[in-house]
Amino acid sequence: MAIECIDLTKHYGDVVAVDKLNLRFEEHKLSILIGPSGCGKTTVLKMLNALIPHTGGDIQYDGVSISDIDPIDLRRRIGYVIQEIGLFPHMTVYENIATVPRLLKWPEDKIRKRVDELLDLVNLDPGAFKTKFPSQVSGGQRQRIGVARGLAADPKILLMDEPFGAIDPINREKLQDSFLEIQRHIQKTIIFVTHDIREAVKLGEKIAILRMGKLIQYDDTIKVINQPENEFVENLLGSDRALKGLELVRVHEIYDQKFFFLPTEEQLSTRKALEMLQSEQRSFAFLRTPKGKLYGYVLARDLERDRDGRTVDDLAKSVETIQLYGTLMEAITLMVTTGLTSVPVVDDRNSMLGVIRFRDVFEKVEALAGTGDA
Amino acid sequence: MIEYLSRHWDTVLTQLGRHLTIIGIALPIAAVIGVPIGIAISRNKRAARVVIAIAGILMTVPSLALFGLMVIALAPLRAGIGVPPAVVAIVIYALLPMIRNTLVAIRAVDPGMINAARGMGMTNGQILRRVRLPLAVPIIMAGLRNAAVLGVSVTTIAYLVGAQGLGYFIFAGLSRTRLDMVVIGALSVGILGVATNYILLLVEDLITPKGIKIARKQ
Repeated sequence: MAIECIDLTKHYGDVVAVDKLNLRFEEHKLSILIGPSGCGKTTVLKMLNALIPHTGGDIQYDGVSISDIDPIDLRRRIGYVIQEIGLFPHMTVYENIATVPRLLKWPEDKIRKRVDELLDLVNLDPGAFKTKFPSQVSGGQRQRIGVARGLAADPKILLMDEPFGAIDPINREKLQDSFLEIQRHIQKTIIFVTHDIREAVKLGEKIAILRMGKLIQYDDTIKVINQPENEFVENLLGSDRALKGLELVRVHEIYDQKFFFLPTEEQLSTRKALEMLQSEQRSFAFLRTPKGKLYGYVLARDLERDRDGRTVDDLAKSVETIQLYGTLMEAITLMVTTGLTSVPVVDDRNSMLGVIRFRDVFEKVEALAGTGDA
Repeated sequence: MIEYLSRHWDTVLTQLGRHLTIIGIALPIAAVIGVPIGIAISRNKRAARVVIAIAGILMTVPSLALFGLMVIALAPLRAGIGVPPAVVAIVIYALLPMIRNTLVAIRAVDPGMINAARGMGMTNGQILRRVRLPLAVPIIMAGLRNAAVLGVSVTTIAYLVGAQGLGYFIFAGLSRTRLDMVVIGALSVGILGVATNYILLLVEDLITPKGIKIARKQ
């Protein structure tokens, strides 16, 4: 279901909170509303499900004006997810998720099936979680339950108001990843409010930037990064704008399928290995099991220093890997934390597919930075 | 005192029964009036201020005077003497804690949670029944306990308007300078107050939603 805002306006007395907003949220896409606090992003979201009445213009759902839809009915057909505080503490996880289906008077066995399905979807074990209360689970788990509750009655539209705002940075990344995964399956029309530009770039297919109630720019995410409308958008994106673009590029787009392995030979001597490395002019080589699974790497430097006639395996170091759908941002983070200029790309069985190199990532950074200034 | 007790234990039980009857009638009435008033005024700040002020003023009227006023007020209904004026007076006393705690409890619910409930399509009635009231139970029950303990001690004065009760031992004892009677009266009122509070605590535990109890323990 597409949602269209036409000259949408909200006045509080003389104060204009939202000023003639024209914007179409496309079907099956995750659109971000972002801006500094007080820009009207939450007000817009709450006007979409009639929690706040608009004072001018119109909102249309597939061409039907919001004024012609019963607000209670509308809200039951739209998923709504806010920070974890929105869960009801006196209800079990099951009852929380069952809220809207119960309002819609679904039969209880249909609700039971749906709750199990949803807990599976958000990666929580239904058997373990259904009977728990919100206070008995972690913040991140509460947020997953919040998402499940929002999806309970299988709405076409999901409104999300800074849902991951209260979660610590590490868990927030995880939640965002699994939420992207979920959206790939469910393909809902999602309007997502945030003030975190990294989150916006990572999750959003389209980004709407608001400032003092006015729409500044509304474009595909990559276009917002490459062609910021004005200085305000540039500042919002930050000086590391090009770096943020790395969240959008996936490893499979630029990885190199050529890489160097030492032969999988038992008891390979360090001297022989060193010769092989030197003839290829390499400073290190990856190591794999006879079955082709990556298990580490060895540095030429370490081989050179070895005087005790140890085997290559004795000198092997374990290695961090990345998968094809990882982002360049994750790749570069790995490079910085491990000190390696190449990170092996593997499939989910840990078989090596190629490498991603620092200089290729850097070229991408330059390309991203260049297009905006040209 | 032991001697008095052993000879008049049946009187003690009878008066205890009368005392409990007055409270047993008055408290439910106060709850049935107070809780809805508390809910009704929670939506309107001005109404809340006015109602709380009135209930507060009623509570500052000395209990003796309030009983006297009730006798006069109820006299035209031929109910000026005995249990009716006592019950009405206790109801008036119990109203403030009931209204005030209900108001506080309803308002204390996190606005984010109400926002979520409304956003999911609950009507105002559903929000009240499914979210606000279950969450308000502990605070409302605290108000009821407050009212009950207050009621137990104030009902002592009901003896003076002919309603009998444990006040009998205190006032009769005073007029006859029988210290043992006064002590029995005072002690029994005290014990009854503690016991009432404890029993209501058990009731509170029984009707508080499990999820809230678990959350409070952490």
